[in-house]
Amino acid sequence: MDQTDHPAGGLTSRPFFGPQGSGGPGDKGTGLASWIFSTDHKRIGLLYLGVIGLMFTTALVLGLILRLKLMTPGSTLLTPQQYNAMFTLHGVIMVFMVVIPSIPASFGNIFLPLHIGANDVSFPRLNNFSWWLYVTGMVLAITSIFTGAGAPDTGWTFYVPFSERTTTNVSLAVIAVFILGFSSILTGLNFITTVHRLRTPGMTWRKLSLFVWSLYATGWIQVLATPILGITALLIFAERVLHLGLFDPGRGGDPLLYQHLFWIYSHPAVYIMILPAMGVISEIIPVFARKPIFGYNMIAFSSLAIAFAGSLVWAHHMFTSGMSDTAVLIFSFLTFVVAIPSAIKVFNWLSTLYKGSISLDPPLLYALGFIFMFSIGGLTGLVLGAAGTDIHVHDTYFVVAHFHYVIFGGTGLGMFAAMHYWFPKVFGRMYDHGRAAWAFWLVLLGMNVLYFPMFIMGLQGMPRRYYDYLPQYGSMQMVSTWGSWLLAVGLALMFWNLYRGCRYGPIATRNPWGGATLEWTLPTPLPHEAFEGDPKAPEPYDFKGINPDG
Amino acid sequence: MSAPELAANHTLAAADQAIATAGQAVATAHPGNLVNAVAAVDNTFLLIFGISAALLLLITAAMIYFVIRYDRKKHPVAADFSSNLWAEVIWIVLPTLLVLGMFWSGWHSFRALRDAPAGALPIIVTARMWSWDFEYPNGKHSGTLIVPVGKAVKLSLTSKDVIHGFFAPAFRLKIDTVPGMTSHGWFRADKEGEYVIFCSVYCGLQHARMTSAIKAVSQEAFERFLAEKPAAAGHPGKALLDAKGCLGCHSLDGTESVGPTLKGVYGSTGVFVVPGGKDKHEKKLKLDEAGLKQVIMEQRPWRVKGFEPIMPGYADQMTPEELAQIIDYLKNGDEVGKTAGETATPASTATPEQGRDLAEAQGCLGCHTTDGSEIVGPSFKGLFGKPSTAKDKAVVDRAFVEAVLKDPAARLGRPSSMPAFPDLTGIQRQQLLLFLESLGSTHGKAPAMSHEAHQ
Repeated sequence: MDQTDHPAGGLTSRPFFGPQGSGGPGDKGTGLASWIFSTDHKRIGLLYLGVIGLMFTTALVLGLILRLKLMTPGSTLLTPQQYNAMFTLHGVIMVFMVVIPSIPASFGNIFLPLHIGANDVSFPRLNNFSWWLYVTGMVLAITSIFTGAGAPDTGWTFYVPFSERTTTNVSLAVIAVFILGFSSILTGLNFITTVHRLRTPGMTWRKLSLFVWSLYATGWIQVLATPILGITALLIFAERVLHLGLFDPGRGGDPLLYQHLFWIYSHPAVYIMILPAMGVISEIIPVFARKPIFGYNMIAFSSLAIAFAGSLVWAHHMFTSGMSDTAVLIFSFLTFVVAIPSAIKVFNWLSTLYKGSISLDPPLLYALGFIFMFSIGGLTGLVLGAAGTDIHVHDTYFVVAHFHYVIFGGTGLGMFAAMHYWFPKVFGRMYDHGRAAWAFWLVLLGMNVLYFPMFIMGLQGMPRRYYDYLPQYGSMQMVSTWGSWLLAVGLALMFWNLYRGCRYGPIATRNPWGGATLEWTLPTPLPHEAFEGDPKAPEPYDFKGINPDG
Repeated sequence: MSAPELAANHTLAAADQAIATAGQAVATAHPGNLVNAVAAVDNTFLLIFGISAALLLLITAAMIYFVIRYDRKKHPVAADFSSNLWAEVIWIVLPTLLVLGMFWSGWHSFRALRDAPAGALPIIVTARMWSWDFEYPNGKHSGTLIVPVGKAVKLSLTSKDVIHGFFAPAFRLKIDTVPGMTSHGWFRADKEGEYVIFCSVYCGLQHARMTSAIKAVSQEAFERFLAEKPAAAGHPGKALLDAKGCLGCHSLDGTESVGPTLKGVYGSTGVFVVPGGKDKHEKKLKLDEAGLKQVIMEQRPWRVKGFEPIMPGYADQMTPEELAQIIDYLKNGDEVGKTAGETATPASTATPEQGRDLAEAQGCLGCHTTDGSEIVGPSFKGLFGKPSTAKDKAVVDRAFVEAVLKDPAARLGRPSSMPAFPDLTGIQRQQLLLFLESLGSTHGKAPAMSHEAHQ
């Protein structure tokens, strides 16, 4: 960041990323320490954005190598052991270090307090500690690759008994997951408390932005479900070190018990991943349609409904596991129940566009991309929720495709939409809109070329996590790999455009999109102290009298 | 009971029997149950994909239309509304009805996959790293699932080590095999042919190679298969040497007993003594095809130098074909089949899978795992290329393994609980080595996946 040439806002305020303090006592200066020990929610949000970006790039490269290996059948490029370790790392890094913290830890940290008119979260030091836990977990996970008897080769699901028996460095990896889990729990706890305690006077629950609603629902899942992940990770560690036999049938244990414990967290975890992205979309669409969000109550309520009902569907990952048919009946039914609030959100977003005054700026492009990709991901989820069809496509490329459509096409594009939406407010400069649009279309095309063939291969029976495959899948695998290159080019263009904008873009105005939430009343870039006194609570989706000034 | 009652009962019984017979006839005409599970599952696929495609089209079209129609340039002022009761009721009711329909259809097809018809052929499936074993009711084992066409097959599945998944895409059948637990599934092949079996649950190094096939054959072929004795291991010539009693006097491993050893006999020059003379009349004979034939078949007056002349001629006990097989064995050892033609398996087909079965049968896997964990001995996973636990810390290679198999204590240079396996034939050692190599080596490269095997 160019410190001497930072753009000025309307006021003579110090941007939050500039020097802190005035040279007097308590001045933290501008050095590294002023960042990594900062208790400022905005700085912590940027810290998260940095490490998440680093991990995303790492796991993205792993994914590209995996696709390159799978381009042709036979033994090429990687040994089976390297391949197994690599898809494990791709999954562990992407799930635990990128997607779960993505939007809440970065943009949630920066904008949740601002949306409710607060100057910080309830527990700023705890917030900084969460980041340190994340970094500790990250370092341990990376260490597990290079130490012990080789990188973990269990898949990100760590299924027993394999994860107990393999000699690779699984113990360290599960400890890393345990620590990352605490980072997530503390962030969720902080958000829940902040929403309850620090709303500005007049900010009633029905005046909360939908982004805040989604983070609030997410916070509850983080606080209630993540401890189960922690326990499960510890149990694997205990099994490996102490040989307790909890999951070992030879000693009276049960491998299915592990699957239940794992999915009791990991299914709600996909709602930790997707709900904040839905919140971002609910912010962007009304702003760019200049029209109040359609069905505010239903969207807010559906976030809570998803958080609640989503906690009751975990065993739909286990239809083929050998559990009872009655359990299949119940979990299949509950899974379809969760589909309803998701459908409601999509219909409400569409209705918001209806008769709006739409400006197709980059944030809206990414948001519409989210709706398209999330719809495909969600609709194919119905195939997985239906018991009979799930049996056929379970553990095949169909699941891989479904998951990537929802998480990369959904949460990923939601994250990118947030980046393009809040970029000028955070960095004080604007990126190039044309290049952003080009990057969007490349990313969208790349994702579909990459993942759509996987639906077809899955229906044809191609199992996932295969180092090699039958020649009949050759052409689809080839196309899929081409897609990964398109996607890589699109992402490179997008990040390069944002970097250019951050360094050389035109100075951004206070409210370039015409947003009605509180952050757009603040100077650009954001000042160190956001509000002097309690701001007046606005109607978050009333655009009368608010016009884009860019 | 009176006579008429008895008669009535008799009639009833006959009627019952008739009904049962009729039932059987129906069951034969529609083997298995009357629900076609594959069709039921495919119907659910069609239903869900149909509705999904319509919804996706609707959503995307609406999105594009709104963006164009309500572009800010053409439509500068947005309408001001944020709710509509009827729309919201439809938003809730319509998806609810749709998903309930899908749920019911999915459950219906799931039932079809689960409920095995009565009288299905029971087969026990055992998964292990990284192969399948299928056991038939008569105790026969097979690595390929051979089933009669048109007959329902009920599988009881379990695993010996970690969780695997039995996946036969053609029958929409997938069920995990869990150690310590038995799971169930069933299918019916309505057409003769070969259908692939995958392992669907990630199970370590060779997960992708844990494939097999379902072969649906005619009832007669199936019965023939069930009646087949497991083929004798190794070369038929070796079995003949055993059957004809040759091995009572001649060893195969180089030791001498009553007669000279047969190891390396082919192509050597035998020294024979013509009786009567005082070891003066020695006769040399090149032991090639002709020489061996002469020695084995003829009742001859001379003996091998250093041995008693007790070997009979086999002219009346051995057919020319049998002789040919024995000679082929002596010539090529277990490198079978260069001359024996179709009766023998070519040596080049020694496969890691056979080695796997052998390791299981010989009990190797009781002490050596294939997943990298250590029980008693070092794991087979990644064994090649690693420093061994021998005193000299030699790197494990083919020669090392062969030496250990022959005499563990000698090669390791320390006492070891591993028994010696001197009786393995050449081809068996070959299979074992291939199997060990297939488990990867620490530094070496990956074994090639043989795609021919899947065809």
